Amino acid sequence: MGYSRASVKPYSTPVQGSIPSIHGAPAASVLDLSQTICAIVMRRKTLKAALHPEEDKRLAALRSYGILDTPRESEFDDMVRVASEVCEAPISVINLIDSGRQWFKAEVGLGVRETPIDSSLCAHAILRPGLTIVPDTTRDNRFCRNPLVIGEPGLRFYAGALLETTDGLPLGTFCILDYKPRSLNDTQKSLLRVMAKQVMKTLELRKVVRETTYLAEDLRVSETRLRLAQEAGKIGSFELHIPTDTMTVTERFCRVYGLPVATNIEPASVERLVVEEDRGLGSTTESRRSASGPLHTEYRIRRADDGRLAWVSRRGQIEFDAAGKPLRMMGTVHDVTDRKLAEEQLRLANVELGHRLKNSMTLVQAIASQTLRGASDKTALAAFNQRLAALSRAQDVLVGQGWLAANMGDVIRGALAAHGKPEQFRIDGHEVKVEAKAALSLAMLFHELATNAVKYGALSAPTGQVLVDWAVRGEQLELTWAETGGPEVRPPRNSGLGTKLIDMGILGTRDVSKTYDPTGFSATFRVPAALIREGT
Amino acid sequence: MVKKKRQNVLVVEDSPLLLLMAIDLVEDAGFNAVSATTADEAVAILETRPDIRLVFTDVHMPGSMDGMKLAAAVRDRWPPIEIIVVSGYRQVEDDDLPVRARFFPKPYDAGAVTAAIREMAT
Repeated sequence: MGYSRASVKPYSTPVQGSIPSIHGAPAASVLDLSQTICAIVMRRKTLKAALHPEEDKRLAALRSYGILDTPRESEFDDMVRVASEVCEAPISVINLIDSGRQWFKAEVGLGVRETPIDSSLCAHAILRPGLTIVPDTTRDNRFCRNPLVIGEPGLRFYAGALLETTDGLPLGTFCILDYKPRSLNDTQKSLLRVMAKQVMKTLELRKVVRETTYLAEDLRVSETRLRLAQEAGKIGSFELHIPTDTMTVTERFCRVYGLPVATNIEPASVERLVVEEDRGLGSTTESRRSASGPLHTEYRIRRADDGRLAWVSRRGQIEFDAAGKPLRMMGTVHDVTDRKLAEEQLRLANVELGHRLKNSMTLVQAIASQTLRGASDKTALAAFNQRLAALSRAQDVLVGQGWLAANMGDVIRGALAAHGKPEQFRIDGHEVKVEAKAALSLAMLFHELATNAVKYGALSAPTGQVLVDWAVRGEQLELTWAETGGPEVRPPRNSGLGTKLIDMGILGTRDVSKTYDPTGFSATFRVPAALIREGT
Repeated sequence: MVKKKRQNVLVVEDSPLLLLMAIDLVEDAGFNAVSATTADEAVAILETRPDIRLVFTDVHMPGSMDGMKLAAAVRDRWPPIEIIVVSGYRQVEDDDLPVRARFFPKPYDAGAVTAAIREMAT
């Protein structure tokens, strides 16, 4: 580079032992004295600069510029080159003080991009405002013990302008260094200050660009997220003012119906979209005025824009004015098309499963009838077939009602359908949803009861009647079968499978009371209600 | 009982075991069973035999038509023939059936089907 290096005295041990001689050696040169002071300080082995009082904040600020460890860039390289030339200094650096290291965005004369913080001169400089000039590092107690000063490369001159954020946090310096003690003229000083400002301006500008980009990205992401949430939730809301029959709606509301997005819409424009078959399920001007429509309803619509068929679930609540007249209806609309389709698929799958089960049962029937064809007891095969048919009808009821549970009345009616005439039965009881196993148990029980009634009881006479009723009393479900109008009855002498099944009761509880009154047979069955109910 | 020639019932069923059971049922009811395993075969038989009194058919069968189409074809081409349709598919409604045709869900009650055959074909 053409700069001559000042010769540097290597760190000399003799000085170490000469502390007592400081006072006794007033004639020692200033240089010697300062070296002596340095040596004293050296012995304390505290080379490092103190940390900035707000070091964490300072480091956070530094990192916010995203400049650390970026490649060299001519924009900054040019600055240090010009500073080096104008200041006639062999070394010029844009130095950023990171944690544990100093990192150079640009440098001339050093040939490295970072050095440990322990030997940093700038770490000291950033603790002071503005421009720090150290004409001779060996005479400055911050620098005199620095290995870069006392050892290779023997840095004797330092001038650094603070790189400072707008908040006043120091990030590093724009500095020049020389191997000989010297000074800077005013032009050179102002150049360093200008360069430092320029570096900061560039960093700030880049930060703004970066943050704007991030912000735009964040905005895009959050908008997308919101849109996806709305799409996924598919919930719109509305507020209907009843006296004027006008409605305020959200954007999503309009989307559910495929209507052009608007804040105020006419309720009739929604009403029109409801498919013909579901017209009664939505609200009408009349039902709104009288607040007589259902609060929760589900109906199909033809979407206004694409004509697509969609299912809408609408929930609302009505507010009344002081006079008790309906004032407002507020609520939500929800596109439930996917749920409806899934329900339909499930229903079809259940039906298909039901068919396969029926086909299997039919095969069982065929196997039994073919196997027992030669048997002498034809009544056994008939009884078998009838029981199988009863089981099959109970499965029908279950399949029709979603497999897991069925209405008790439907199960009982299904079991009795093959026996007697419909007008011979009176079936009476609050509808109870019974789970699958209980439904099958009930079906078999009623099949046996009806079979016996046809053979020996009320159903053997055309005038005979059977009353079936049930009720939940406390924790128990009590179910009664009462025959009237048949021949005089007597308890059976031997018990076949039918009687055994009847004695087992519902779900095998054996909680059965039978009476053989001359007027007709009757039986009461009890089962814990919790055992037969759906969801148990 | 006056002895007379047995009436013919055409049983259409693709499952061998179910076909055997249906044939037994028909014969036990006092009829002569003629069997076919597809609707197409049934039509071919009907085209050559004018003496079929009743067609007893399953719904789901391989071939160009199912039992429902067969029932419709029978009613259309051979109106006097009675029709019984059986199926494990329970959604067969009266509206889907030709006039005078009757439906029994599988597994069927042999007694009820026997009674129906006797009632319809004699």
